[in-house]
Formats: sequence, structure tokens, C-alpha cells
Amino acid sequence: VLGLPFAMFWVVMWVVVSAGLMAIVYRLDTRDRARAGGDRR
Amino acid sequence: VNVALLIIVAFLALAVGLALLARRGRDMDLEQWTAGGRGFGAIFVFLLMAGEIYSTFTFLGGAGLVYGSGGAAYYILGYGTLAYILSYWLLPAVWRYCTPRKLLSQADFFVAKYDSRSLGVIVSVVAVAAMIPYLALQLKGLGIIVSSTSSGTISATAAVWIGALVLSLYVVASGIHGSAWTAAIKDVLTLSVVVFIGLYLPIHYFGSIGAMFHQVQEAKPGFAALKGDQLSPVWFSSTVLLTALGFYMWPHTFGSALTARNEDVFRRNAIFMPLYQLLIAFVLLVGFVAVLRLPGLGESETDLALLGISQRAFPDWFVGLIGSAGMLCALVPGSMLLIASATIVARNVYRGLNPHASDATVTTLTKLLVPVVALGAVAFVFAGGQTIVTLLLLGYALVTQLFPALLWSLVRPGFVTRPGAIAGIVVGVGVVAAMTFSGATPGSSTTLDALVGGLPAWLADLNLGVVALGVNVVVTAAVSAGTRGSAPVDDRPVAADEPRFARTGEPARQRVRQA
Repeated sequence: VLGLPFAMFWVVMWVVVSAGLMAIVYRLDTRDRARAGGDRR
Repeated sequence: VNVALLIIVAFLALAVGLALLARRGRDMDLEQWTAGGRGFGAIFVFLLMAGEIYSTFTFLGGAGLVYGSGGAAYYILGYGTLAYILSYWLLPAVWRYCTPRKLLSQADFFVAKYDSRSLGVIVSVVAVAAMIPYLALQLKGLGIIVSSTSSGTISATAAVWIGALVLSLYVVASGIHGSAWTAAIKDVLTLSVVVFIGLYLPIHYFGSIGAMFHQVQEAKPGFAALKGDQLSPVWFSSTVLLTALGFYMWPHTFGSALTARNEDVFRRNAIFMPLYQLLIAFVLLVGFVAVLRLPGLGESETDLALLGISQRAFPDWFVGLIGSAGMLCALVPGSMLLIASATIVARNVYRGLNPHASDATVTTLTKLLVPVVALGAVAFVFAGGQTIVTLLLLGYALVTQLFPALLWSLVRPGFVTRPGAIAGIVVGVGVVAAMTFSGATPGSSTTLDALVGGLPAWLADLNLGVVALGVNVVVTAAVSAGTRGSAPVDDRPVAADEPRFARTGEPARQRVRQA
């Protein structure tokens, strides 16, 4: 796939997907951010 | 005049200069020196964490592992990503516990959590034991860079000594502030160099990345997939598991978590850190180029792959840039490893055994210990025979043994008792030591069949460290069940009287917690 062996493509794909998932988790995680609120820049 | 070597020396001078600048105007007490005064925001913490993770291991070891074992090297991409996901929940919990208590290190954390100075000493000894091979691999990398770019004028042995000397001076001069600034330069340089050579070399030699893998497949069928004899999917998965769990157990990664200004820093970084990991993919591509274009490196020389192929393809001044990136990749994590080990021996082992030692004594001792630890790592390099990857995995096998006691103390305080934690860590480390010293060869030293013959394939290829971790978990749980109720675990809110960790200077950061 895309000139990469499948195993490498698979790992690289999941690296990118993980980053996306963490961005979504961060968005949804309002409870924790409210708690940290006093400390933020 | 050797242009490549001159460029490397120039970058070294720049790094040392920045370290001295960063120090100016700051009063270097121990908290400043090790935790940067706890004032770093997202970008600096990001750079520090990235800085210590993208080490010589990534740079030379990644390409070397591809050269030696092919597709198994993809594990490097996987474990970091998993660890960052874990960090989203783990690091804020650690930070929240440590900051109001003014804890400076991982051992402090265990001492406070389990209310046991002896556990602190045990954790410290394990941590330092794990860091020595990690530090040794940075020195080995420095040695490889200096001796290959000088085309042999400087022998690898001399280069390792020079590296240890430079590293010690750098650390004593600057502490962690130096690391953060150098990390910034190192990241820019490494990023550009690695992306460029990762794309340029395959295209230059083969026309495209796809064409290169096509030729790899023809020359060595299955090499770029997970099909080695030694490093099978079982090895791959167990190694990813071991290293992902161990990732934040390193005292220096744990330590840079304490430099953050607030816990939101970690959550934001958990989004971007995995992407930064993609950099490694380019290093792996270079490794595959070397497989085809630089054949014939011996089993213990695979770490030379990246520099070897670069010297063949590029002019001297560019090899100098590559070497500089590699040198900084050793200097930044190396300096953090040195700071962490010296601090640990002084604060947690020495003061753990002599509770009345003064702050001034401990600070002095920390600085005196820097060259001593560096010497230990030099000895490890010359003990020899290991590649960069096997050194790293040995360190991980040791340090991951701290994970069960740490996680349990955060998730279910009181579940693991003091004797349980101690027994688990001691047994886990004992198993790793027994396996390591049972005469495993560099090629097989990370799998279970090095120790026990005749196992079915799915068992034989398990990473040794994971087996030890399993034993550790069982022992921890069993001993804890037997001793429950005998030792309280500290999870009180911060009291005003924490004399061991109280410090003047910074106001205590009392935080309002919602019940």
C-alpha cells in the first residue's frame, strides 16, 4: 500500500489514527479541563 | 581538514554555549537543576519529552535493527504511540500526586506512596541499573558517529571516552535548562535531516520507495514483513507491550513529567506526540536502503548502517550535518539520563540510607556523581558485544518491573501493600537478571528460548522482560493479599507538615480538589 509493505503501512496508519483519537478524547474531556482550569495559562 | 568532524564540533560548541546561557541568572538549587523549577509549558515539556525519546537509539539503532532483522523494527513505531495514549491518563495522575508534595523523582513517589524509605532505595537501584545500559547505548552511538565521520582518525574507543567527558561537563554546567534548549536545536536539525535522507536515499538509488521495497522483497523474500526466524509476531507484540508499559517508568521520563506547569500540558501533548513518532518511519527507510546498498555488515556492526550509507551517498559537509544530528541525539537524552541517575543515587540512595544528610551535601554529591555514572556507562560499552537495540531492551526489561506497583498505587491505593510492592519488584528484576546472565547471545538475548529450550514457538519468542513482568504481577498480588492491613498506604491530601519534602522558595501549590 502506497509503496510500503503492508505491515509498515498498518503501523504507520495506526500512529496517525491514534493521534486523531487522542484529539477527540481531549475535546470530549471537559471534566478534567475544568478541574485544571485554575492552573492554565 | 575533515569537514564532517568540524561541523560536528561546531554544533557541540553551540550546545555547550546555549547550556551556559540558559544557566545564567538562575539560582541552581536542586529543584531548579533537576525539575527546571516546575515552570515549563507545553512546548518545553514537549521538546524535553521528544528530546529524550528521539535518542541515538532512534537514529542509529532503528536503521540498525532494520538492517539486522527487517520488519521487526516497526515495533519502534508502535510502542511509543501506545505509551503516549497511556500518558494521557497516567501523567496527570502522577503530576497531581507529586507537585503539591514537592516530590522530585520517581523514587520520592514510591517513598511517599508506600511510606517506605527502603522501597525508595530499591526503586532507585533498579532505575539506575536500567539507565546504565541506556546511557551506554548513547555513548556507543556517539562513539560510532565520531569514529565513522572522522574516517577512523579517532578510534571508536577514544570517541567513547570523549563522549563521556563532554556529556559530564555539559551536565554539570547546565542541568536540565541546557537540555531543553539543546533539545530545540536537535529537534529541528534531526527532523529535517531524517526526513530528507529518508526520502532522498530510496529515490536516488531506486527511483521510488515502492521500487525499493520491491527489490528488498526480491533479494530477501519476507524481510520487510514480520517473518524473521528470531523476531516473530510474538516477539513483536510482547516487546511492544513491555516497552509501552515501561516508557514512563524511566526516571528521566518520569522526571520531565514533573517539569510541567500544569497537568493539561500532558493531555495536549498526548495528541501530538504520536505524530512525532512518524519521524522514525524515515529512519527505517534508510535502514532498508542500507540492506540493499551496503551489504555485508556483521551482526555486531548493524548500527553502522545509517552512517555508512550516508557516507557513500553524500558529500562530507552533509555527513557532518547528519553526524551533528546524531551527536545531539546522544547528548540530550544522555544528559537527562546522567542528571536522573546522579540525582537518584544522591537523593534516594545516599539520603535514603542517611536521612539526616543536608541539602547542600546532597547537591554537591549529585554533581560529583555525574562523572562516576558516566564511567559506569563507559565500562558497559566496553564490556561489549551488544547492539544498540539489545542494550535498550535490557534497560526496558528492568525498568518495566516498576510499573505494577506504580499503577496499582494510583488506581487502587491500598491494594498493593509495601511488602507486596517490594517482593514484586525484587522478583521481577531477579528474573531479568537471571535471564540476562544465563549466557544469551546478542541475537537471541531478548527472547525466552535463550533461557529455556524446546518451547512451542508462541512461547519461545516472548520477550524476556514480559515473562519477568508476569511473574512480578503474580508475586505482587499474592504477597499483598497475604500482608493486607499491615502497612497503610499514603493517599492523604497534602498536609502542611511534610518535612522531608518541604522546601523554601516556591510557594506550595495547594490545589482545590473536587471530591
